[in-house]
Amino acid sequence: MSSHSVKISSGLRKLAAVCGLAVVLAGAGHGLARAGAFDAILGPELDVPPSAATEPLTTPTEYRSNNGKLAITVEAKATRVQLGSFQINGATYNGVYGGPVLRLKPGDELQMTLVNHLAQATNVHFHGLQVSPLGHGDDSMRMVLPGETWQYTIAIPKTHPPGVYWFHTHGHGFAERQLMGGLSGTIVIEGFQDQIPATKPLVEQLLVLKEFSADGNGNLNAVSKPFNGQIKTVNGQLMPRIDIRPGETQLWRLTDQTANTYFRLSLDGHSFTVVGRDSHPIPKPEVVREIMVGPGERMDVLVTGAAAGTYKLVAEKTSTGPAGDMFPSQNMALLVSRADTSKPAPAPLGPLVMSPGTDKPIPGDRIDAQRLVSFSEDRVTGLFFINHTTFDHERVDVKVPLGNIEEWTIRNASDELHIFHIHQVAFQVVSINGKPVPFDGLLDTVNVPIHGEVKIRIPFTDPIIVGRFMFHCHILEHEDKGMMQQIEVYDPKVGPMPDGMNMAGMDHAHMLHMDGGH
Amino acid sequence: MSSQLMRMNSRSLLASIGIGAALLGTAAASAQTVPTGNNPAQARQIEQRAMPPAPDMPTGDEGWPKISFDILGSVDYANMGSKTGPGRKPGFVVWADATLLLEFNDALSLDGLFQFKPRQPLAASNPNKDLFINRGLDRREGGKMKELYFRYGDWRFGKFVPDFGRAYALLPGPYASDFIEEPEQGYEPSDMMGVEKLYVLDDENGGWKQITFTAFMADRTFLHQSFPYNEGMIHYKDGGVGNTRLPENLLVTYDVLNKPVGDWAHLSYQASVIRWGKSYGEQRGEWWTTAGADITIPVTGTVADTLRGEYSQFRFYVEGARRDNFEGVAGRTRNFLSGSAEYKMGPWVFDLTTAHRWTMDRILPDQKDESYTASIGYTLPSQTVISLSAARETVGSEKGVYAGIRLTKAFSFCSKCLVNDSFY
Repeated sequence: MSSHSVKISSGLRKLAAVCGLAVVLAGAGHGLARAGAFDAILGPELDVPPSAATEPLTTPTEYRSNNGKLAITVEAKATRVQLGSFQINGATYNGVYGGPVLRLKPGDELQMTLVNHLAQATNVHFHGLQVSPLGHGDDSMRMVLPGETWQYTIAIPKTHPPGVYWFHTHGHGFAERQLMGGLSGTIVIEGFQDQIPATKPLVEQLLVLKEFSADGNGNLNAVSKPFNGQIKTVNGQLMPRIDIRPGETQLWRLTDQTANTYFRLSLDGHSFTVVGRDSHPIPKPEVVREIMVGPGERMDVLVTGAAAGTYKLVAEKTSTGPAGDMFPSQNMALLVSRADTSKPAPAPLGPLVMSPGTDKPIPGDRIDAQRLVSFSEDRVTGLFFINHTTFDHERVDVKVPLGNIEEWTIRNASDELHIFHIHQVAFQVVSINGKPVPFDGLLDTVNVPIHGEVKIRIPFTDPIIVGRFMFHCHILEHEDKGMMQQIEVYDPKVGPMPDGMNMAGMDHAHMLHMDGGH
Repeated sequence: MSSQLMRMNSRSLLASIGIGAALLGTAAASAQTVPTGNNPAQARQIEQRAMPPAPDMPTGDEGWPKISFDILGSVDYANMGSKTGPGRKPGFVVWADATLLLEFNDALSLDGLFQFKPRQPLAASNPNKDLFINRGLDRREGGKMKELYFRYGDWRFGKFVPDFGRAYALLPGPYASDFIEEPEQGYEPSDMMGVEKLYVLDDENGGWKQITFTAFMADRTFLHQSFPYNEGMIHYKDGGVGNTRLPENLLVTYDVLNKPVGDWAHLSYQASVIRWGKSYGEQRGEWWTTAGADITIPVTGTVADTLRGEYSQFRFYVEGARRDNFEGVAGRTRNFLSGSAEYKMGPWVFDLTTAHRWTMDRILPDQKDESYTASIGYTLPSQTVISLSAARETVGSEKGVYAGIRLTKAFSFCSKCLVNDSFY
């Protein structure tokens, strides 16, 4: 054997040694969701076969308003949760990983008593609701310490747009982990189907999408990235069965209640008819083969059962850009289409006539202010910025007099997607990367293209929103690391609150000792 | 195989195993892409404008302290060939950057960067000793603290790489910045200690704008030492770039990041100047100047394209730098010009880079050096990047080709973890 051949063999032996060591070490601490020993190189995918779809999709525990009021006690607590064959250590409201469902009508009052059994401070934000941020309202700055109780009183205006909303923890610095643990639930303001009469007789399916990144012991990974493995669920169920009859149309109402995960959902042999986004009907229904929802977003779609058979609902592999995350694909649910001879054949879907209700384009003839919101990040320090600052709860970044209609340019100065969300108000997307877009309904979240811009028009005109609230990227990893700002809408007759002044009802004594429970 | 090479390869193997164990430990790994489109060194300059907490208000709504710990590691299998002298035997090269961030509060943190890489100079008797001087083959590795500093608001104190130039971190491809790295032959002002003040300008309409002022000098402390190959400590009488008695080397840099160009691109650019004090034994202190820009142009950049993994972009980069009184000799200059074109398409990245260097002297003949690099990379679902690269370099009369396959992965062991942490 020549000396050159000896060198090559020696090099290959070293290569084999390093790779072998890599495989052994990558396999050590194997997470629950890891598929095999090459995960460190190839990435894990959770194998959930169709045969695992033994349980029917169930709606989590529902609470309905009565005589204009819904009073509920919500206990936030660490919870051991069974997800299929996996056990995880989550954090839930009332022990329900899929999250409670609250059903109210416009004009109702929600009284939610939050009891915090966690070791960390927590709170609740009512995502998408156009309600007051003051006092016992939707105050996302007010933290509830471990062992404390706080009552939220949310008066839903009579003119409030009906639709699917949600509520979730909003503790800055740990919202990502708490939400990933399961601290969220769904709110349905009834009446959406009245805006699209053809949907009124349809079976409504609430699909709550959640994520969890588990280590080998079922705990949340210290770095809860999809690379470490991810379990995605629907209504807190792994691979549930959704029953439908051939020809039957159902209204599926999806909420992405994840901290960071985007879903690109496809359904074998079926298409979706999108009829609503972020709780608002869209002017023209769209037929699509896959639907995309990002963190915080909601979507209402129609699904018509194909011929008898089984069809997988798949979350396809999804990327958020060169500097973002890659979410592995996973089977989410199994649609089982079979005839039910005990019932008459399903009626065909009526014509889709959209009555958007209060949704109208926001007038652009009087724009009171133009602002720039620039999302950027520093990969080295791990900080995320809005306009080169990180969140400071003592700083009010934007002050808007009530009555303003403003145009904001949301800029993405990074190599990954961000999803802009503002509390208390809904907005209209006016242009994307300089190209005007037709009115497509109001939203409260919008994705911003990489190295691109979205211009939105926001009406700060409803007196109910007077007070301080937030806007941020709804990828909660980014929000926790700084990508959030505080806005104050003030009564121009009174003027803004002095800087440093507490909001009415905010007790800063509660801000002390929020150190993870110690 | 020579006994010397066997010893080096054994050391490389041991280092590989050690680093591999650290890299692929039982802790969680993160999904971070290799920052080919970002400048880690530059990024370190980007800081929040922290507002010191009001004395009568709570210090925040988060727990402290927080720790972040990441390792960016790569393993090369490379080879070098040359017609002007001996090549270098194929072998493994390990490179790892471990970053530590300990945040005490919103304003104060301790930042560290431990870098493990090839450090041993090539033998003076090697006819190709100036070729690929910053690449790994035939060079023993060592690890040391490349950076260790306190950050307080917009100030930095300690050992850090001053913000001068971006090519040494931004040029795509593993071998592209060979001319530019390190302060003696290139223009990366590493191994410096000093103090820095950053001003971030308020108006972000034209991108993120900042001005940096730094005063610094060569690191003459134990932090300059490395292990297992030890670069040793610097003494004042050793001279060299920045090795002044006092931190009298002064820098001013102006950065603009992600300035929109119409609706179709983002432009970043930098201009910087360093006035170096006179080091021991030199005629003059050097003057360094640089200007560079890069433009990122999304091609398929809609949200839907991105989510489908079909995001694509072009990125073009150009940077020039000049060292007047090069090596402290009056009238000697060294000029650099580098440029790159990078195309990212989903998980793929393709890039071409060229770097040129002119060394001119009143007495010695001018020397022109060139390098050309091409790389193809692919990001696996685990966000491990596998890349094939080849570089051709001419340094004076020395010519060679360096090629290799590289695996790169970032591991996040902790990302702003609370020291006293509970899960919820």
